[in-house]
Amino acid sequence: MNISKSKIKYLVRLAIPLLIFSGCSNNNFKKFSELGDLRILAVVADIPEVDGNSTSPVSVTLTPYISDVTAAGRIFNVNVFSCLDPSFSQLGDVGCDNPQVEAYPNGNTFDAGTLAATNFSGAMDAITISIPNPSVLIAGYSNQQKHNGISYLVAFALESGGEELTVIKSISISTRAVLNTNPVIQDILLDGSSIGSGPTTSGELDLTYTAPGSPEAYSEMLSDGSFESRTESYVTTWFYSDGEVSPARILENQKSFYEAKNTSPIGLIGVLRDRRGGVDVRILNP
Amino acid sequence: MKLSLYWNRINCFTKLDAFKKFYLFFILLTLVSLNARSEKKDKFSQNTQSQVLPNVKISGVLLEKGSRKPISNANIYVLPEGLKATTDKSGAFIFESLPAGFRQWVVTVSGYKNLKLDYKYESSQEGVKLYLERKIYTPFETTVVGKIKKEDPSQKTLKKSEFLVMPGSNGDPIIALENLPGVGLSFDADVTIQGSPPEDTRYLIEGHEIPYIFHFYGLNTVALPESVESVDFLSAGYGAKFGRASSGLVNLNLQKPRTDRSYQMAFVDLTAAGGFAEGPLGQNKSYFVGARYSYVGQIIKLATDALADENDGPPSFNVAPTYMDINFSYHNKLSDRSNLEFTALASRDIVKAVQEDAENLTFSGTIYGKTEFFRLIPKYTYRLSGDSKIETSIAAGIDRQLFTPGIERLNITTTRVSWRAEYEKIFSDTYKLSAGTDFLYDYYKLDARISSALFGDDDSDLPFGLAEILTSNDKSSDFKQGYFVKNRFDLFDKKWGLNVGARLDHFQLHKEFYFQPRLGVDYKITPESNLYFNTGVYYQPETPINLGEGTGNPDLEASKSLHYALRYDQDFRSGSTEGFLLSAGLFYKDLRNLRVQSSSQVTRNNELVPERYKSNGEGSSKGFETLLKYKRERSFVNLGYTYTKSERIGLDGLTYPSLQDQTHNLNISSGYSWGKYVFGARFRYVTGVPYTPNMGGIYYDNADTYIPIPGRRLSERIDDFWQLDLRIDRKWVYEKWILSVYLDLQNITSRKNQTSISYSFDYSESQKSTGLPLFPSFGVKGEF
Repeated sequence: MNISKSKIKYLVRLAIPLLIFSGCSNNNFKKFSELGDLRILAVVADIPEVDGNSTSPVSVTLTPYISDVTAAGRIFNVNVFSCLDPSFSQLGDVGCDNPQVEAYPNGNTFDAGTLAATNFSGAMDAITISIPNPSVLIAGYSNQQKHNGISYLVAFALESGGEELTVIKSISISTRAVLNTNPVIQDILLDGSSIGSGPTTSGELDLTYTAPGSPEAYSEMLSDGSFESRTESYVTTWFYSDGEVSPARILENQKSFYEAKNTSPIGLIGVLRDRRGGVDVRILNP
Repeated sequence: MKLSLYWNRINCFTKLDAFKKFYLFFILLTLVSLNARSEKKDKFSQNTQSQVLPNVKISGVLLEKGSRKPISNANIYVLPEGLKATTDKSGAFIFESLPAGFRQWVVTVSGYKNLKLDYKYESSQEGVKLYLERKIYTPFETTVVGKIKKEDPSQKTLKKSEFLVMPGSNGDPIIALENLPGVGLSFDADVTIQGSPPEDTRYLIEGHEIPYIFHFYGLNTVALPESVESVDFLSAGYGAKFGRASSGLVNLNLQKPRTDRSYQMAFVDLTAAGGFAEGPLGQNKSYFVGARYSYVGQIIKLATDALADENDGPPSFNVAPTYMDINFSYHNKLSDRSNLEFTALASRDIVKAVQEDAENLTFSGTIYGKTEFFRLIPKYTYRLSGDSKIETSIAAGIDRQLFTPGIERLNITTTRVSWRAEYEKIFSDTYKLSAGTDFLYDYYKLDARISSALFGDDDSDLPFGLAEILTSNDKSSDFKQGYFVKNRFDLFDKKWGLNVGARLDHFQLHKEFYFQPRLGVDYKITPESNLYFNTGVYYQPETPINLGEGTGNPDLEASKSLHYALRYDQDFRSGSTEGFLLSAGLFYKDLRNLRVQSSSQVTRNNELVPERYKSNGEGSSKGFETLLKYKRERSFVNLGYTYTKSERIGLDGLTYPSLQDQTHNLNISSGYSWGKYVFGARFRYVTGVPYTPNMGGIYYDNADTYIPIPGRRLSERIDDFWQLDLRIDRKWVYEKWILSVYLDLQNITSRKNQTSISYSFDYSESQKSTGLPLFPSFGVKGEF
């Protein structure tokens, strides 16, 4: 009984720089953690997991966070649609036939100039969507799918001057007894001290955060109908407009370091995820 | 005459004119020479005639210098009497009655340097050892690839003497396979045959399936080269003896341990060190044992640390791959009719990598992977009569695969027992029958919570964070039965040959029997040329994971393929051992019921579930392959070329090249043996494989990753590959051991061959990923 060896080897090839002999693993790609061009940092849904037993529509409010430092303010056309797509995770194609078109505030536009005071990085206008009767929506699907969650997708398409960016947020519809909630990132600390705005000091400093809550326990149904207890595993991504954070993505037991390039205050953003759709964003700006 | 008698004449020399001087000088030179020969004769004469010495008995053994291999059937002369002794099978000789004293011993054996030894003895002696040095210590074999009268005409074989010196292969039997036509270039630890995916190739040891053939990253085969006698490679049109593989098989034949003497070997090279020992265990019994441990992880760590120091920062990866293997074999000739063999093989690979900064967003945290297996293979052969025999073997063992990328896990433990039995009888000069069984039983435990992206199509860049999480905690079994029969008819004065066979397989998880006829026709055009045609039906079962309810689709069908192969062999050597050999052929494989990915939901047990896969893929692989060999005693040149067109029909009805479609594959290898040196070179050119370009990405918030937007499917190819490898071997031959040093320079031009394409985190940028530049491998080996 063998798994796809080539896929494992693909991973291993990523992991094993035998190529170090040539430095072949080096690339000149832009870093995912450096702010500059248009980025979507996160989409926070106030209810990341919806009760699949609910017999009435459920409202969910979603707040996209963007960063557009280089453009320094422009107006985006924003189109939003939503649909149930249980097969999204199979091939990554959005396969819903009749997506629900949602109305975004301000006539489907957003002015990023409103984020000037926060280094053109921050929350867009929130949008509230209504998920139709979830119990009807997921009726017929297997108990395993219903328990573990079926994807209800919400897609945001931003466009400005020909530049486009699309982001998909999946709201899980699940019959779990205890539904997922968002983690909370309360504060960002440098060398253990709270900072009210973007850091200004130079030198390498410990970069950490405080979270009042703790990873939630939840259950997963296996294919044989049995359940497995699991605990969330937080992952934090740091974004910054200057200096360097390394590593820029960490697990709970890991630590990042921040090093400024100069003493001017910069933007620093922490995004905390529970890997189940729950997310929180903390932004420090000059 | 004594030399002193000339002295007075020399004193007169200065008084003569030039002509006379020259004349006298010539005479003197002649006399001196005669005197010398006369003195030598006198010396023997004094010892043999003037003394009253008794005759003595001298016995000993004639051995090859360095290897201590007994040299049989060699004549040993003792001069001047011209007495002769001939060595027996063990190299032993005996002179029952030799005149004592000073004698010259002369041994002349084809392939060895002449031995002339002045040997003095005054009493009887035993255990005298004479060593003959080979003229060439690395002769190139005359093996004909796809040679005439092979049991399976589709079979190509590489012998140990070939793969050990194959440039670019580092002495590895499977890496050397890439020099053969029909074998694709693989950047991973796989063997791809005639445009088929690696999953369609089965790997065997002594006819029994093993989970993988290579150690990590394809650095080495799982068995020590010294343990391997040969490697068989079966491709399109292979016979009924084997099955369950759509494309072909690779079988490692372990060597029979030496019975004539003991042999030990130890080696150390850039990535691994190991040892090997073999020899007789009393009468009719013999053994070998070998082990190897790789410290490539430590080497990598040194390099990463050095890079980190250079870059003034911590390395982004901390990697610790390592592997080891152990081979053991015990042979017991129970009687003239029966043999018992017992083989054991164990292999383990461990990879651990810590990615602290997930730039590529594929995963973060620690990847840990361990694959290991062992096999115990008892084999019994019994000759019922002069023309019939039975052979049976069982392989029992456990395979383990543990893979934990980040917080996910895949843990598979398979207890595997396979049984092969074959009865063979030669009924007449023109008819031979073979029949047998080929069973495989697996009991497996699957504990998985892992992204389905691990199992998806290779051209899909579905992010691991997005793909469905497959969960399973399954214990189950899988039993595959196989029955085969082969009939060989030699017709019309043995000019025509007919192989009529069939195979019946039953796959428990598919719940079906599969009848697979196999047919082969061969025609001897001339004594030096043959034409072969082979065809057959082949079924390959799906893996339990792909058939699992929680991990795949239990309704998947076994894939089916129809093979057609035509080949022409010509030996241009006209009875000589030197000259040209040609093998050229066409192949066509019609592929059906191929597994393709599906994003549909289907109703199973009255509820909607992910379909994941369908069995309605189709495709074909066709091509031309040829191997031209030029062989001399001290040198060889092989030219292998394969043209392949491998295609798949997508769910949209369109035809695409397959991921293994390497249109042109040219391989030129050569070797030259010069004394104790062997020089080798290999040049390869291979068309780049197709890939689907990505045109950008969509951000998927839940996984904090981007989903690639694919462009036209498989519309682009990576750059063509070409590489030149050089190898130098040098041996120092001592009486009882040989020291070998080799330098294998892979990619001597340091060409940056593209292996794939990599993208920035949002797929807005791309660049070529390249393989190793000039990669030197240096090793030392001692043979005792």
